[in-house]
Amino acid sequence: MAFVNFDKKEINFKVVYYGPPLGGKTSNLVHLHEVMPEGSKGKLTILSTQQDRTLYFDFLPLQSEALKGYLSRFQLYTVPGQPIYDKTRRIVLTAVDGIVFVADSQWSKMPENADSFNDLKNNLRTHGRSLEQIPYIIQLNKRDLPDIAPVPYMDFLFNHEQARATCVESVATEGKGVGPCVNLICKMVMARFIEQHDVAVAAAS
Amino acid sequence: MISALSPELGKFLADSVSALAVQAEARAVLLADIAGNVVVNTPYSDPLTVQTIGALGAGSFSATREMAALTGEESFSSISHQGKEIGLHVRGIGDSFLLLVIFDRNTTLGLVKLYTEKAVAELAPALHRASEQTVCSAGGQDARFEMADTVFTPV
Repeated sequence: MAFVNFDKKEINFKVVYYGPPLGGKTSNLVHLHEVMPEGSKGKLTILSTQQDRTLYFDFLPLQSEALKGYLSRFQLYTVPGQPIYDKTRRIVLTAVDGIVFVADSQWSKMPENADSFNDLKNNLRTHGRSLEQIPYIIQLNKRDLPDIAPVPYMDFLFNHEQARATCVESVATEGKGVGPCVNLICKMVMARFIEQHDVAVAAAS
Repeated sequence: MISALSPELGKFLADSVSALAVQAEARAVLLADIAGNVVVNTPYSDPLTVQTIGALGAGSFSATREMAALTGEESFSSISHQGKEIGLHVRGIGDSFLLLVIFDRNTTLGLVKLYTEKAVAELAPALHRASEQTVCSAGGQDARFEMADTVFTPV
């Protein structure tokens, strides 16, 4: 849920990178932290195991003046992908404004992709929400690997909801597709906020 | 949770956390929601670091809430961390908010807890009012939001 502080003229948005284990969620944030200019990024916090697996969440705060007159703060989170961390994934999805589903393009990972996507929908339901209500993008990651599913197949696999989601191809370890993805999801989140605000203003007047 | 904070309510909350910081002789006080948004805070480090503290505090508190449920307890109302120089006391307010008090050797955990409890009693009704505010009612009726073409450049 976006939070507007009219005193400080700040708006906070929360974006969660979700997906199967080792799919590239953390790699997205690592790359963004490397390339974002100083002043628009905070510290990248990675809560991980000794094997570099996300344990709780990764967190990267970004800020932008994309909404005229307001400082927009984007809190980027990742979730741990391993099945045993289901409860923590649920916690991280609290009040989410936008989701990037990071899918692993390898053929061998399709069952995990499907499980994770269903897990996302189930966890949103525990918050009384559904995927249709939240701006989301599907990032088809690891497009550089040899044994990967074609984009139309993955689009077919994930894009059978009521509204079609944008698919973005990426190689997160090299930063390819990471920037366009974050720009797109943040624009979608802000657009949804403006749309909801305009509807509310129209209803009130 | 709060979706919008009017200037008047924001000032009241800011004054309350400032008073807590003075009374408890704390280094800083943050009021955050369970989603990790820092609603108001006393001056401490840079805003992006404050955001990170809020996010981590909310995550930590949410995790302990889940542990409470698994152990048959309704909730743990507070958690405290003690380092060599710095301590952190986190107190939940209702289901949706938390106070994070950062303190050092100049005060004691007991004093921090004492004044935190007092602040919680004062803040709870105001936070309930804040939860009922919408973007429109908090001052957004006349606000116009215009979006730039690109959010982050270069990236």
